[in-house]
Amino acid sequence: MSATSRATPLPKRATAQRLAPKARIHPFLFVLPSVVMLAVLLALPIGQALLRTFQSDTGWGLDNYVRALRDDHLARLAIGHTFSFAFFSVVGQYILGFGVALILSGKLPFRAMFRVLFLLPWMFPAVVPGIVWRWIFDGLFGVLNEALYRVGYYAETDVPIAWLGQTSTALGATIVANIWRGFPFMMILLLAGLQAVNHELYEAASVDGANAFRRFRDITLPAMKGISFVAILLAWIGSFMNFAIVQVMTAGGPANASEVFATLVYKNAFLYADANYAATLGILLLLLLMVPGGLYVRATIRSGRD
Amino acid sequence: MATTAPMTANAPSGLSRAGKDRLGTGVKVAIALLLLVVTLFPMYWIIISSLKTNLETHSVPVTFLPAVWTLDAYQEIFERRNFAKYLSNAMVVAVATTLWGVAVAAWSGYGFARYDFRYKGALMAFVLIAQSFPRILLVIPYFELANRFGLKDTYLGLILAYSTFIQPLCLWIMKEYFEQIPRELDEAALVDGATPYRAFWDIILPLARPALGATAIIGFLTAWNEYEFALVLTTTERVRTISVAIASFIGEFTTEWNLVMAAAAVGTVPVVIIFLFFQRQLMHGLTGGAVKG
Repeated sequence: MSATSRATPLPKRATAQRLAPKARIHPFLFVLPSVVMLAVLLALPIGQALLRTFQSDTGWGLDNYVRALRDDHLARLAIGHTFSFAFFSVVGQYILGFGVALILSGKLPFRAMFRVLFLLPWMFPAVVPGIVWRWIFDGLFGVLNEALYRVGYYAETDVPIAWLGQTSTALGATIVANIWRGFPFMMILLLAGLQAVNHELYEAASVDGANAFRRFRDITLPAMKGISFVAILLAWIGSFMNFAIVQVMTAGGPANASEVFATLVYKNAFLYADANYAATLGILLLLLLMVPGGLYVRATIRSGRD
Repeated sequence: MATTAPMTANAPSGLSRAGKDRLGTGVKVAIALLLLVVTLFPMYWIIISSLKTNLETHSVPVTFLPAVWTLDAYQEIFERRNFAKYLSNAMVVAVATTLWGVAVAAWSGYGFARYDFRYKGALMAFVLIAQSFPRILLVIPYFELANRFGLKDTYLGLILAYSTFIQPLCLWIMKEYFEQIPRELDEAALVDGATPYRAFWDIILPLARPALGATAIIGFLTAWNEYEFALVLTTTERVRTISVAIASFIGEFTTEWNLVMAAAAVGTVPVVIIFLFFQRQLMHGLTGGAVKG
């Protein structure tokens, strides 16, 4: 852009007053079209969903919530799976994303090319990661089992592992796919953070005889705290409500072994035709997202004020 | 960082500082390449599998290159499975949502970028929440409302649904861009007697043209990649998008993997091309404004 040179900005409040000398209506005329449209598109449906949660066959009441929180062992199972899915996804994405960001932040030939190629999984249509990893993990004709054969993991008589067909590995396989899809986004956020670290600090630390590990621990990590916080929150939120990867890879199976909240909501709404209960589960999912969501919103709006 | 050799260079073991640097770089390139191979392998596997015959995808040992190279799968999905239609559906929905989203986002993003006003914090929070709202909750009432208002299996239904996340996404990115344009420019126009709307339209919008383009591309890619709404709001091929078509190939008992992979390739290639072509312009907006840059 031609106009990105940051000329020293004026203090915001003074400017705002000067921009709107006559009418305070201007800002609202600008922002209202968006806000009103979004409110209609979101509030009406959410209101309808919320109403549904208090309706059941027996009339109005809290039956659906009682069922979700006390009686439905599947809901409990799905909550556990969703937390595992989000937790291990975020850990994997963060470690991988940070590692790649560190490599790409230093001197490296073809750095720009590497950066673009590492980002590719993030650009894929939401169903494609699930599709391709389902095929890679396929028990009979999957390339993972083929590779394991070739490196001698399986003996001649072994039955190859059906990664998505057995309860012990299905959820883990979906997590692998989600890490693959999500780590590029983590990488690009952390890379931006790394490039903002003051390089004179490294020079000074080197002069003082700090080795690479100490420089990483004492300079890089503290400087990356803020951006890491936001990146981890975003990754957590995205993983916590993920639907496409699990739905396409296992649809929650086998025997609900990889059932997460989103797939359970979908099942109840569109397979069991119980929209009231599905909406209840959806509202519970929303409630579980409120803490990370609130922290993310606060951190983002605050950083805009600086 | 590994390559920043200590300033007090008494290089041990006979390696000069430059030599150590080169060694460090070599190791880094090797690690980067290794990780890249792992990262890109699924892409390779999509392409290779799509060029095999159905028989070969269901044979062991699994081959890393097709024994018989064939375009049968592509011929099948385009000639008999109507993939041109799914592609054009996805295109129509993504383009319409994006045009509308960017237009509204530019107008409102300017307001958020330039003014302080009452409830601004709350409204910004609302936009951010809308941007990452759990779609699996929204699809339930949207399914019902679409049925009631005759919007099921229509472009309009999908466009309205997509607007719930495309519009806030575009708004936030545009706001970040506007904040980088010096305020003196609008102020000069205001001093000359222009209304704020004139200042926006005549001065700022032309300057923001590259930002509009970048935002539109990100909006388009995001809409193209969507799955949940498209899955629930389309029942026939009339408006079904490519994402739903790809996933629908997964069979309960058998799956023709060469077809699935060809479908995945066809759905992915456009976004990869667009991304590779515009990546320089997209980098900032890609993070949805989570990083200043």
